[in-house]
Amino acid sequence: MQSNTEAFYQEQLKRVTNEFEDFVYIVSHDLKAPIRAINNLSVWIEEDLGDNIPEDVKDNLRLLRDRTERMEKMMNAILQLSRVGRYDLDIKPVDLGQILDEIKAANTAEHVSIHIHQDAHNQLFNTYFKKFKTVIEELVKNAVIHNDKEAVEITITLHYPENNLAEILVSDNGSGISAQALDKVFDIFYTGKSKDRHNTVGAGLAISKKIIDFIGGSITLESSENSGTKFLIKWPASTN
Amino acid sequence: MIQKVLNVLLVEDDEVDIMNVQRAFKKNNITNPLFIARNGLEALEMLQNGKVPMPQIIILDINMPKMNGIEFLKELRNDANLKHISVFVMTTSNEDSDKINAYNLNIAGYILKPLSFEKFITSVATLNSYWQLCEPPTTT
Ligand SMILES: [Mg+2]
Repeated sequence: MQSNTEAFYQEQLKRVTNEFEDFVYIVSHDLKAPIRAINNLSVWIEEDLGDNIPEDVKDNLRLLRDRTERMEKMMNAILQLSRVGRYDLDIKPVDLGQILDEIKAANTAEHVSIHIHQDAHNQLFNTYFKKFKTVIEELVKNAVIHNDKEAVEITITLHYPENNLAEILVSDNGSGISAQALDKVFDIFYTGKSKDRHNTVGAGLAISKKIIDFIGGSITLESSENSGTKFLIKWPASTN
Repeated sequence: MIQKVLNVLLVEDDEVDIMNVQRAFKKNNITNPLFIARNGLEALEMLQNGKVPMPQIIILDINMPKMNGIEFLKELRNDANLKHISVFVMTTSNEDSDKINAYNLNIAGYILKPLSFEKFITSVATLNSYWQLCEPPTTT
């Protein structure tokens, strides 16, 4: 009897979660149309006014478009968040170290150096490899954005202490996170500084956290202002 | 001299998206006659009752009231007189294209509705170069 009730609530929870994700998807999809219209209309107003537009009016039109672009990015982030449970669900044996090497190789910014240490060379892990890549990429992006140094240093350590759980440590030499902000960094759209100053809407860490929760891992961080940030991830991955 | 013109039918419910296509046509010097239907049902009626000259090309929105783009496409492909028409779908996201592919409705191409008008102009220009390839030879 007890297990029947539990199964019933499990089923109901699953249904409500699905409904919620459908809702988020449909809403953010439909909200894109009016944003696009506002953006287009501002371009057409500028075109139709011709060459004699006062500078301050031009600035305002530019700001208007900049904000529609930000809103579109936020919509895309909500979409991505709502899809965590249904996209990139393939699991196959992969070399996590190789994925790290690929991320390092894809970094073209000269002021950014990525250092990789690992004790799991050539070992294959069964895991959500696409999700793994997304999370590490987001952490790297985050480390680059919130960094005030001339040379950005990011160190990624992959450690495999026991079966079924890989540990990944991502640390940077960035501006760090104040104590008050520590529990907010995983909130969607939270940014440490004004969104005007950084070209970010503050969704990367929220998406990473949702992915890690979804796959049953954990993410914690250690940071204080001006001392850089360390993220420790425990990532479910099995060797058989 | 009879010049054959390539007629285009735009099926779209959003007024600004209609203006978007009209503006992009103008910017690319595309002078093909552009006819407009506000949803799938209206488009189907216009085509079946000969209210518009037979278009060679349809530009189709997906999200529309009354009859959406996918429902319209199914009807179109089931109509012997209309099934030959080339259809370009305008989508808001790449996922829409997956949806249509799933139905296997024989699409000539997709145009993504991007946030920026500039990008839309570019994709309409690409469309236009494709049409010129299909333009029937001018008869004298
Ligand atoms: Mg529409």
